Amino acid sequence: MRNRLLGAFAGMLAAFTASVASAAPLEIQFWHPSLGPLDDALKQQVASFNDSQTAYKIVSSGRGTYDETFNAAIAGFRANKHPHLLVVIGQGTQSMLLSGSVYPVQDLLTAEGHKVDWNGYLQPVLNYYRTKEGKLLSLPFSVSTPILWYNKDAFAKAGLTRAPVTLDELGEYAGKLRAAGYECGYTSGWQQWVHVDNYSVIHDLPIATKYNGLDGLDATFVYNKTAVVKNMARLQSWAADGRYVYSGRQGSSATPAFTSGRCAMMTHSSAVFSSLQAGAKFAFGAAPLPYEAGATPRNSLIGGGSLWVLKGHKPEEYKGVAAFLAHLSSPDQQAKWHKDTGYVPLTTAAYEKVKAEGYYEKNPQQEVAIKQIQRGTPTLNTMTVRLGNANQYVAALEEEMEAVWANKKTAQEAMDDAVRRGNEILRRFERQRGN
Amino acid sequence: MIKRVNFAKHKPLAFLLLAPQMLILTMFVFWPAAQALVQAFMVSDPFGVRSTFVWFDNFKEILSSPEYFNSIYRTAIFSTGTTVSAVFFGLLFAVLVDRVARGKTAYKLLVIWPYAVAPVVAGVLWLFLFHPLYGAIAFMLKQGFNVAWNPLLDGGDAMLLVIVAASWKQVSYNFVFFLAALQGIPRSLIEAAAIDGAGPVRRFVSIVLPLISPTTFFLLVINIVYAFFDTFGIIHALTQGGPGGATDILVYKVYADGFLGLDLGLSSAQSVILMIVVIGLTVVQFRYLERRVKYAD
Repeated sequence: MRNRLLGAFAGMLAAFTASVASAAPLEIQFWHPSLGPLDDALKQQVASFNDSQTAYKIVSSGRGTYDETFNAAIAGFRANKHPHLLVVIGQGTQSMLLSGSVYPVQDLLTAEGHKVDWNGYLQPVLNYYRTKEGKLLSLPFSVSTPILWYNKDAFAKAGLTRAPVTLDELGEYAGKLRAAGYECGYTSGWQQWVHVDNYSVIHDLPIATKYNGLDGLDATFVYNKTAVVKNMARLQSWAADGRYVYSGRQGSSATPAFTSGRCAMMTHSSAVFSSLQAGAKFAFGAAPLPYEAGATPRNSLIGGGSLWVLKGHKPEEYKGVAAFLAHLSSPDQQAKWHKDTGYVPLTTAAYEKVKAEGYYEKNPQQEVAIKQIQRGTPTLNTMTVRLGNANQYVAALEEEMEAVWANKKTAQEAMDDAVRRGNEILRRFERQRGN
Repeated sequence: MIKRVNFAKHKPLAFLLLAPQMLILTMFVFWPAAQALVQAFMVSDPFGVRSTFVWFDNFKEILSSPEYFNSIYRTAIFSTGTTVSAVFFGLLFAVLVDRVARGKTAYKLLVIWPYAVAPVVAGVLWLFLFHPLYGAIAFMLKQGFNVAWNPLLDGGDAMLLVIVAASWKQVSYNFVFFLAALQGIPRSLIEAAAIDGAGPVRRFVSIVLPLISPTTFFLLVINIVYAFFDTFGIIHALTQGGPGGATDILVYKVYADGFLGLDLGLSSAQSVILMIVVIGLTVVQFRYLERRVKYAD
């Protein structure tokens, strides 16, 4: 009896020492929004890192929408239980900087001895997340840019052989598609991103002063004094005769309008590729966003989430965070991520790799966005939009755009009101920051 | 004839029995409400790193914006519409089910069902059914009745849609209470009236309605509070306050500024105003409407 007890005790002791010797991997918390159909690709990314080494374990956790994830992180900050890694939407960059807990990605990778060739990255992608001095704050993650999607079957029916290039052509095409029996010629997801932000960037026009806020929090909106107003007025006239049909705010309502075959053309994020593949029962093509006749188009503006590293954790854990980020940036991972999700690859090496595989010959739609963001030379107007309280000023702008589509206001009146309300929201942000 | 219960002899026991409930209320109601009151006088960043005390600046900012007054007007329409239609249809269904002879349980189950659907799921369902481009019901309206339905651009359509969606769920709740109240009316009273020659309408107006008035009053209060406080999920899923602010009700603004815009000061100031409005409304209801209510004695 006594011997058996002793034996059991010895066994327990042995098990305990064994578990200490082969120390459990350090856990690294990674909070991200749920990406819907793209969640599997994310799980595979994390699993490939966890399987590649034994020292660290990335624990990923989906926290709902981008807004919900950010709210969870705020609660985490307040309770001092924030994760190591957090995905935040690009528009939230200015808000993230308020937290005082940002560990710039470029500083982290340098400190942990990773030699990164930043020139091997697609510059317009990095620019969006850089400081004015060029330091990278967060690692781009779920990055896309809007492009034009069109229904090839509908084009054949209307006798159209190529995608429209200019905006006036877009309107002409929409009219022809309507004549061919499509009740909606053209619709758009993320109307504000497409028709205010990207319209301005492609035509090298300022959205706000101080290089769209990059140069200081006291920036003010100016798009009511640029060609954006003309663009709105044109869309208003299309809305009146059904060439343009408004399908709702944000992105989710435009996609079914296109896949159901009601709308023959749609401007939307390049990352809806997999949704269109799953939902559309017709052949579809992609083309760059149409621009003004006679203009030399610049790069388009990207959007989407990036990975932030947060301060306040143990030094040895940051080694793992850096290793994970380096793993994500490898050409193999980037190429797979790009093909799985439709998000833009970060490095030229990944882009060349996918190209060499002959992938774009089969899926030409996937290359449109990459070419579009690399078009022309970036200027300080086309780098980024770095303004605070983005959710609020975007909501105000979308409200005013609805007033234009409903013919309640002229394009000029609506843009004036949107700029007035937007500027109040920006001043509010300055006060929140303590200025 | 209000009967009061007197605990004077057992004060310690009374407080002891109240304590658990008071503790829960303090943690989940009074403490957050006090926090909101404090925040309403502050401007702070979302992380709580910097907070500045600004006296009444938040209130001034809200009360000087034309959008806020639009929001008050929309709230009045929305809460009246939601409360009236939810109470009316709840009562209508309860009366019908109360009279039905066969399959009562099946009807009851069907009417109560919507209450089990989560508000956001309900909102998304409504959106898909009524979307002007691909919604099944919108399509039927267009084809069958030639109604150009467009809640995305027409403020009136959008308001109608959110009222229907918000009251749809509440009808089930009201139905349960009304049905219980109807079943509590003594049969003898109704039979006596019938013998005296009163028709169904007369019996309903003169006997049933006064007898269920305590329930009606209770439901009115509950439904108004629901319309004021509990409907931001539906608005968020359906219209996000649009088009052009047509369904931007007060509680949605509180939600949007606080949880999407992350401006706690502005959001708290609005919720304090909202709290005052609802307290005021409830006081008015209890002082004036309750006088007409007949409680059994």
